[in-house]
Parts: sequence; C-alpha cells; structure tokens
Amino acid sequence: MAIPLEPIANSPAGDDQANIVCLHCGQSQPASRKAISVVCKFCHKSLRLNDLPIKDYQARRSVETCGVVTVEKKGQIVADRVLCGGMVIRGKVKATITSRGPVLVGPDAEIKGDVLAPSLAVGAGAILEGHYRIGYPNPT
Amino acid sequence: MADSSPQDYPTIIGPDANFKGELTFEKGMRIHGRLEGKITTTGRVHIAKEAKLEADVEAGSLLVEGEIHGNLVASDRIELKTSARFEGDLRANKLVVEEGAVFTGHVSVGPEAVKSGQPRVTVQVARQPGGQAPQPARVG
Repeated sequence: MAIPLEPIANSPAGDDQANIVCLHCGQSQPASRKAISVVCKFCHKSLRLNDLPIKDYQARRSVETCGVVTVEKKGQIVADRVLCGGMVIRGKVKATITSRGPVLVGPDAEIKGDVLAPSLAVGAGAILEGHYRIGYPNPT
Repeated sequence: MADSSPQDYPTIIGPDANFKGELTFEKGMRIHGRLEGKITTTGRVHIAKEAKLEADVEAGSLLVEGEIHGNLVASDRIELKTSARFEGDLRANKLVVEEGAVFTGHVSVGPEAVKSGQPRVTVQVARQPGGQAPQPARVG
C-alpha cells in the first residue's frame, strides 16, 4: 500500500518532497520522499516514515510510524499502542490503535483494543473487541 | 440504497412517519422515517439513508445507511454503509463497515460476542435512612 504522503503543490522540489503529518502534534510539514525518519520541527519528536510489515509475533511497548503498518496473516502485535499513518490487519492485534489514515481489517483478523481512525473497513468474519471511534476529525 | 424485493421487507415505515414505542415483527422492516424506542426481531432491519433512530435494536441482521443513537445487537451481521452515522454499543456475529461510515461506541464482534451477549443484570441496593445497607435475606 502506498504511503499517504501528498506532494507539495507549487514547490520546486514537489516530486521529491511530500507533506507528512506528525503523529504526536498533528502538524503538517514537508519531508523528502527518500527520508526514513525525520524530526518534527514543531514538537521535536522523531518520526519514522517507512511502512512496517509485521509477519510474525512482535511484543513491543509501542509501534509508531507515519507509514502504513501491515499485520500479515501470521503476524501478531501485542503493544500498548500503535500510532500510524494507516493500517492493514490480516492477523492479530492487541493494542490501542490510533491511525491517521484508513484502517482496513481482513476477514480473518482479530483486534483487541480501542481504535481511533478516520475510516474503517471490516471484512465479514473479523473478531473485534474494544471501543471504536471512527470517522471523526483526527486527534492531535 | 441496497437492492431488495418487497418480500424481503414487508413492513415499511415511510419517510414522513414518526414512531415512538416498541416494535416486534418476524420478517423484515425498512425504516425511512423517525423512530424512538425499541425494535426486536429475528428478521432483517434496513435503516435507510434518511432515517433517524433513537432506539435499541435487536435483530437477525441490520443494514444501516441512516443515523442511529442506541445499542445494536445482531445474531448474524451488521452492515454499516458509507452514509451510516451510529453512536452506541454494537454486538454482532459479523460486522461489515464501509469506508466513510461514522461511529463511536463499544464494539464486540465474533461468534463469542453473540453467545456471551446475555444482558448483564445489575442489582442496586439502596441505603436505608439509618445509614446501614439492608442485610441480604437468609434462604433455607
């Protein structure tokens, strides 16, 4: 899935740069398309920009990236929170999910935890448990 | 609007109808108007785009295109279409959410959610004016 980065209009280096939204403060800023990570110029926090495929079991305190987190069929995340630019879930997730982009849930997916996202698509057969807040303006 | 034959939804609440109370039926119902109260059925309920409900709904399956405030329980599936606006708790065997649907509330989806979904009985014991809580009655 493509990273939800938008090219900057009227910028001389528009093709090389893209606008990213900070996961922590919600401010938008330009970043090189080739960058792997940047520091937010507003809140000075480090931001990963790459997509994150999860293909096996991973237990972490938090998963944070401005890219798309993809949990494959055999993948499993156990974390306090997942902060991401978008999410595709085909496996299992036990975490509080805050996504700035769409969350796509496959029919065999299992999510335990709260979900906050601008949009959600769920395939019939998924197992969900938690508090959901979908379609409201993005949190900061 | 989803394609359906008149046999699927023998009961229709029209767009100019305003219903308050408890509804029970067997087959299916389509709602275009306003409804306040409770719906209980083993059949299908279609909440059309222009419908507004303040109701708890227990049904076999639910198709939501309109606006609902209340709790939804479906023994089979709940479908939230793009235009759906829903606030309340949701319990179903299967959930299908289209991108664009807006909802907030506790979600419990899966075969176990419906099986274990017996209504919770809460007992509240009022304190007596003397300040002491009443003693439980002895049995046997």
